[in-house]
Amino acid sequence: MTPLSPMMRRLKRLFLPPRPDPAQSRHIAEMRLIVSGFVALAVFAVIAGRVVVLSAQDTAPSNDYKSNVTAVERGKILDRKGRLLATNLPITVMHADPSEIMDVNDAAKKLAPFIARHNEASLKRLLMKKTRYVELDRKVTPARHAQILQLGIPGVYFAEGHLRAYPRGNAAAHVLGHVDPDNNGLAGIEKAMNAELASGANVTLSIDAGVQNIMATEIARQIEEYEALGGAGVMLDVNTGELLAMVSLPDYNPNHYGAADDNAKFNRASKGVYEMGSTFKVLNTAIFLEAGLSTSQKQYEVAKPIRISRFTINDYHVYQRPLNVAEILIYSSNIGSARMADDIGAELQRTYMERLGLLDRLPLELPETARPLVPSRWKRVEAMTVSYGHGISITLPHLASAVSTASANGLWIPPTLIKKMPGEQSVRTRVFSDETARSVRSMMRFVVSHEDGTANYAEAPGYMVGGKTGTAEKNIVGGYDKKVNLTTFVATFPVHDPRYVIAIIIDAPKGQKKSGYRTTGGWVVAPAVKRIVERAAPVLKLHPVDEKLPEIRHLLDLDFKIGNEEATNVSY
Amino acid sequence: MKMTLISALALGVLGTTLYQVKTGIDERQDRLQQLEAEISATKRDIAVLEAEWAYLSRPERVSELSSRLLNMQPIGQDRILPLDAIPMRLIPEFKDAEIEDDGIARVSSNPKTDLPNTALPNAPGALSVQKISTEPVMFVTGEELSSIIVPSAKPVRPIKISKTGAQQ
Repeated sequence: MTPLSPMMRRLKRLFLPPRPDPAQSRHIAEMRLIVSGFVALAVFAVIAGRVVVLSAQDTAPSNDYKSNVTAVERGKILDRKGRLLATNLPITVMHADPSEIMDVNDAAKKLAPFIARHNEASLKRLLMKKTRYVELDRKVTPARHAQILQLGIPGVYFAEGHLRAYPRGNAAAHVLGHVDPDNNGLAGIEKAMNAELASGANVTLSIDAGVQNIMATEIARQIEEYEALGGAGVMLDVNTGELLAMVSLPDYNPNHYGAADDNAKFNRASKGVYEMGSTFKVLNTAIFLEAGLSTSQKQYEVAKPIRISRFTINDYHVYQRPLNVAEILIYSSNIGSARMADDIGAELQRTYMERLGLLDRLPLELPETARPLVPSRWKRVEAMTVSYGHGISITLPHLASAVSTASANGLWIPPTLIKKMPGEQSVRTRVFSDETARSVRSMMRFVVSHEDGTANYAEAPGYMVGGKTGTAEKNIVGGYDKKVNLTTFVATFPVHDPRYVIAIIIDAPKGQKKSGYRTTGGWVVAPAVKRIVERAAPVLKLHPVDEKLPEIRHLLDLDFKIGNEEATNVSY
Repeated sequence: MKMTLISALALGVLGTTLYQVKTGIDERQDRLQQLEAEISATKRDIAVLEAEWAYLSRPERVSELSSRLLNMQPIGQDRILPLDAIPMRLIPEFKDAEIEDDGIARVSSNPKTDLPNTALPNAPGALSVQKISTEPVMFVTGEELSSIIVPSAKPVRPIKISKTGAQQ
């Protein structure tokens, strides 16, 4: 027997005691109990720890109904007063896993009556594809959902999806644009602001849904009355550059984008470039006054047409007496405008047109913008034709923003479709002085209020509308068409404290009996402007004023003559 | 022996607590999931209702309804006046008017003096409203327009005036 080490001996004594000594054996029993107690405790502690760890990890949901909520919902598009223009509606998407379908023929036959866009043959083709996912139908109604579940076809599943919806129908359809089935923006704000919308952020537009509707209905009424092809209009806030309305007609329902024809989809208000005709005389007058060439008293001979190169510049009315600068605008004399432009000079005119942003694409938040068509050669002839809006084609927001600069405050502010927050500063570039703008808008007032002005029908009593009509012959490939007109109108109101500019164009109006078969801006567009101003004024919180009050007249520049009358005395 | 008992007891308590915590967590997790599902369902419902509201309140529908069901027309420009246009004068007859407990002055229906209408040249059948306290007396529309809409009908009586004002 080998001698044991003291340690082993002690252990041996502990578990195999030599002799049961009563006192010692009790001690041993107690020790055994304690040791086994600790072992049990340790085991339980391990189990407890494991349970805690497992329950902490148990965050991944086992139920699958939550899994389709993970995708971020596309942001909404709101108008400036928070009214909903574009949102998402929950829909049920029916899809199938072809590998799980046991009897393709039977499944196709059973499903075909419930799916509008497929017939039995096309369903069969779909269900035989070698993929794990085919979409069968979107926008499944709850009733249909239940009926299809009743069929009990394995491999057919339903998932929740989102449908982009435009609850206001046609309202601002061209501004909003549309999305593809996967909710990627394809046009309009949906495309321009896709990154923001896709990340779930809402977009608040500068558009006022109320003003938008007023403008759309009034332009639509004129289009119908004059059997025109279409029309467009914008309203601009002169202090911020925000577009309160942007209308393009004919329009379409963005909820059924596929059904709309290309003519309706085209945004005439932002992508159509047009020769704006005599509305350009507003800009010509502003440049003339700003250049300091002369005062509004300066007179020009307008009795004879101007013949220059291949052009002949004519007037609608022939005035035998010389007209002053104010009268040239108010009576809309092409000859007078051309002579003024000749004094300004082509180079200076071009510089101002550039400062007014008319030579470049506008920085509008829309993919559908257009580059103006400007003369490649800008010499004496071009300067003369540009002065009355020929030979240069721009978009409506271009016109509204340039006229806002020339007649409201002399500041060029880039137009925008996104609402500016209160106190948010706009980029402002001074182009004209305050005095120039004041003179120009005072003259524009007489276009509407003077009995010889061309836009008497635009008079909205109390709201001090100033405006300028324009009629351009439609530019048809290979020259001008004498029969087809583009009728334009641009208005600033109220002229004593300018707040808004409206620009409207009506495409190819047909002369009607009541207008004496005329298709000029004064007949075709001016009545719409009057109604728009009268209806929109309460929405815009504009107060009517009494024009005869001296404190209102003091705000105008009436330092010119119309006919033989002092402007300060002429009738209102 | 004591030690054994204590250990057994501690063991029991620990086990029970652990069990309860575990089931409590499970319960809360279920509740959380249920609430989350409820929230997303409610959000969906709100989105649907908002879209429906926008659809039902579109101007073309409202204008059609209003022209069919209501006998209302846009306010003419001559019916809107700025607040300053109210003449702040005391009409003589009110000097002696009896003010009743409800603060309304009852005036005889046939006033002796004709009320001058000079201050509101634009308003047909314009009212003469007197200022008694510092507040204008009637027909003040919402602060949005801060203007007064003058009815074309005859002045409405009785006119509410304040007691303190009548003593001026």
